[in-house]
Amino acid sequence: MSEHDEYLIRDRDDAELALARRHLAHRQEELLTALLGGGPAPAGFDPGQLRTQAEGLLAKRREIVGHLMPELPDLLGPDFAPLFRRYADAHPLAGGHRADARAFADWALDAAPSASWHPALRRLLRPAASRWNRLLPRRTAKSHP
Amino acid sequence: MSPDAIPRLGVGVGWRSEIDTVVERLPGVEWVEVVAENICADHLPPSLEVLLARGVTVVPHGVSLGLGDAAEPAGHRLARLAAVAEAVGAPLVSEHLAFVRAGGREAGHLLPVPRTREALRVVAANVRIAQRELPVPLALENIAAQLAWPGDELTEAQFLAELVERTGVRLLVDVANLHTNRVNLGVDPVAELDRLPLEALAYVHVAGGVERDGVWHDTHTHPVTAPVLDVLAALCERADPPGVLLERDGAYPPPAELSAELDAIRRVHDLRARETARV
Repeated sequence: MSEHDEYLIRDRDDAELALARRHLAHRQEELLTALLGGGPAPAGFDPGQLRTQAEGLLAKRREIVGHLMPELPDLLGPDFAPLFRRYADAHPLAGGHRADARAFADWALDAAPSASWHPALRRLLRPAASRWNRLLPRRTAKSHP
Repeated sequence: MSPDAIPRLGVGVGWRSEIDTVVERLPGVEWVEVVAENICADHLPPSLEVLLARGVTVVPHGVSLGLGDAAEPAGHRLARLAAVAEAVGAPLVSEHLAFVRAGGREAGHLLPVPRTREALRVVAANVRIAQRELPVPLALENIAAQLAWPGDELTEAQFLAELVERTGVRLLVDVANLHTNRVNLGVDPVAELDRLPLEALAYVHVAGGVERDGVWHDTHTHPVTAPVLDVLAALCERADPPGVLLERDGAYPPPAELSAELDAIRRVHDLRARETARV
């Protein structure tokens, strides 16, 4: 068992519970991998239901990103959803949603260098490189937060 | 704790920071529910402090504890939920019968638990751990599902009934979620209501949604519709809910519309209460 699975096994009940946890973990991991992309549909599920649920997970993740950084759907417009799908397929949700929003924004900058919204997004994400900062007198070097 | 310990809450609305002043001024709001993860126990939003000072009950509702996860609920998440409960003086907290993570990945969503007797042992164990760490009673909510596990041995209501019997956990019945499962999975809400031990009912969720291409989306951003209110009526025929809460998470309508939705909920509840009193 991995270090995350160590349970104090005192008796047969504990052993059965630990096994039940392992079995449940396997089933849920298999399903979630399929839903988040990166795994085959587990046996016995309705493919239509899996598709609907997977779309729901993606939409929810995208919705939260759009809520936390409304500038993203505002700037990207119709590109927001398709780009987010591509990003999400390659980047599982790891940290929190704020980190996800920022990571998507940075990814979008690299993924669509000739998009009409690219300069605006670059200014949003990297204000130190903005025109105004270049015009202001140089301050002592301090890394941009 | 005996079922008598379930507090009378009345009709309430989900507190959201975007509508905080609206909630403060909405007539007839007897209590509010807050998403626990959005509240910092050390720095309560001023608007929530206003409500607390007025004597409005605040109930924390968790969305990421993962009582249906295969692993035990994390100590830090339980501690956080407990801290919020204490900070707002809540009489109870609620969470979901769902898993939210597996294999080190977050689902970002509430997913249905496989409902086998084997999985029941795990969820019951998780509920007991949570109850040990929480300073107030816990209520579990049924969820809106878009998929069904192969090999389910119990319906959601049967699973919840087993949990109530094994752990004494309370119930948060979401009538919109029952409607969602009717549309998406063909589950009969009334049959499910009949399987639930409603004497353990802590409160009820009511929310709006929308149907798209034959799938019901429990959005919480649409008005409450008649089929959902019908499920509420069916519930009120069977039990008098200690609390009913309107959930709205976005696309906030004008305050008058929110007020009207609360009134509609109150009417359904009061009508059933009068009818069952006559019998």
